[in-house]
Amino acid sequence: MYSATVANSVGIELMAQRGTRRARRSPRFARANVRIGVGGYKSIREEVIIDLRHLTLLAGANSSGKSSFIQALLLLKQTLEAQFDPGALLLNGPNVALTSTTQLFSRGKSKDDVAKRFVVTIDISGQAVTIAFSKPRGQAIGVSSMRVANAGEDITISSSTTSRELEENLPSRLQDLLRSARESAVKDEVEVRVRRERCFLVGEISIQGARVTVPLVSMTNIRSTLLDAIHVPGLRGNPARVYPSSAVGRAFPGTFEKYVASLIHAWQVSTAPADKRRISNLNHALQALGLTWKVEARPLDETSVELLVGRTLYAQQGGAWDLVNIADVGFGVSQTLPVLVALAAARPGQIVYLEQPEIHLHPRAQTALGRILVEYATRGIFVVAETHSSLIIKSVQTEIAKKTIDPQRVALHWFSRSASGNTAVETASLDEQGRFGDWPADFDEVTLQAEVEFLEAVEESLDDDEAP
Amino acid sequence: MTTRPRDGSPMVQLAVDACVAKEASNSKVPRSTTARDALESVRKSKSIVVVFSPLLTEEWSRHAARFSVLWKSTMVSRRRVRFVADKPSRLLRAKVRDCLADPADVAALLKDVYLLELGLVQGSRILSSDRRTGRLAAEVAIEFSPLGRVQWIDPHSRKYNCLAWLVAGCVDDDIGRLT
Repeated sequence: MYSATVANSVGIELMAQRGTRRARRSPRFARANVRIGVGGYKSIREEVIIDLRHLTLLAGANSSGKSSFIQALLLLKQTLEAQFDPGALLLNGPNVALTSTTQLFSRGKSKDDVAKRFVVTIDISGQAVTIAFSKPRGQAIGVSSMRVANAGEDITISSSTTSRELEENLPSRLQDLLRSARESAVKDEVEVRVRRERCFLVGEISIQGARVTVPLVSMTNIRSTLLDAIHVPGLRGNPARVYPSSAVGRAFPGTFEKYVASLIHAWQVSTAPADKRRISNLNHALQALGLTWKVEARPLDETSVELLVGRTLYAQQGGAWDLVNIADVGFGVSQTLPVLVALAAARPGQIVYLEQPEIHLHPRAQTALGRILVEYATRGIFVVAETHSSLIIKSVQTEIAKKTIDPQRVALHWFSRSASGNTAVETASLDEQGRFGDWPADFDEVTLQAEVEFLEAVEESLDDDEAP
Repeated sequence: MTTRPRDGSPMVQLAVDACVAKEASNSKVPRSTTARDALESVRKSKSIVVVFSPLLTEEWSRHAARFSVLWKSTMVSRRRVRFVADKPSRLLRAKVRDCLADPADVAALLKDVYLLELGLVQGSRILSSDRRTGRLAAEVAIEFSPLGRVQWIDPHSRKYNCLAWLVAGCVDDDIGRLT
């Protein structure tokens, strides 16, 4: 008999081997060092800075600040992606929905105890930006200051930075340009000022009305990292009989689930080997999770796509057409598909943020999902998963011990809330065996405690039954 | 890798017999409760590191149960398990054969002699509820004094408070000695 467990492990093993080879061919991604800091946002009062590795797991109790931490980045993403200039921050967007800045700034016990600034730091291999947002009384939220650092340069500007101060911080070639402009006939029409561009501050040089935006330090990486980030939200919608078609490219504005059906279709009809691999990996992963052997997207007309899945777990003779609509199978498939498609769609270096990837999955599938996350992390994708699954964490630890992934490429951050309600983060240091040493009260302890309580309850019950 | 508790004091090595893990995983009061309390005290202590040799690991696997596997996995994750090699002592094994008259006793003690070797050769304290093995080991220790230094701690003993000893980090070197 064909064993499900063997089939699953073989599928994942093949994927892992391919992934390991690919990861070795992409050393530049292995060296990427990404740090994110957030402060003054919701429960994160003091700035908390964490490392993002190729596999970053955010764990901790409910309402401990895991989602809030990433929300800060998503606020920037949705601000940059907006079709109009929404001001310094688009509060109510597809990734984060806030209706007031009072929901944004950290607050304490008393009404007046409110954080003055909301700070986000993004540091990609030394190219760093720290943006501080504040809301002056009676005004909209704005960028109060921005610190940029790159290759030894370290500049802080704000809306009150004077032209002279700004000029002094300009790259030398621009200073030369300004000098020659001022020495020419148009000297009275030369202006240098700080301007807000969405959620960033930039320098602007205006000569005779012609304006040139001057990024003080190149922020190409930071901007593209935010725009390229894939967000798979925790609420991924009910499975639908028909999905609207969407354009698919390299970036996925908003949340990811709306691209899933169209992406699968695009890969199916593509002749590119990379797309064929994506479909193959997707089906392998679905099978490894014990969900189905195949997913297929079928366009119904120019505006809608139907998602069909294999009715059985394994391909069967003559079973190529044994497919049913995704709405007719369990939630596991429809809720996990966006996770798997996002991972398959991502390029090395791209951030894929997964909220609760384990929802609706059987424990065995959660363990397999841990292996799949590792597999994609070894390909150089930055997989960031917010999870309550001890099985995913254990699975990742196991893969480290098996040497499938280097512990240096994995970060485990534990979020908790202090008595005053503020977020605190502890980072586990994983060794070569996947062991994390001392960590705050973790899932294992909760499971062990539940086991103790069950055994004690059974014992008490037996005592009662045996009592005369 | 040697781990140390936060106060910098050395970690105490403890070998936990598979029989304690087995008891902790079943529902036969009061021994199961005591065994579980002992294991939980070990887990919560910051100064005890548990040792596993291949033979002890094999014995644990033979008696594996959900609770004991979870407990061991938690201890491993927390870097509180030290994996060591079995180091057989020819002298001890010879003394076991010489000192015990009954071949059944010899066979019984040789079956678990790796535990005594973890104590004698590697300096581990031993947590075991196997009274027969403990009694036989004490008999051998009369003739073989180095064995007398080994601490054989029974979680169910009424002679001493095992839980208090564990909670204190096994610092009392006198209780449970085989002589």
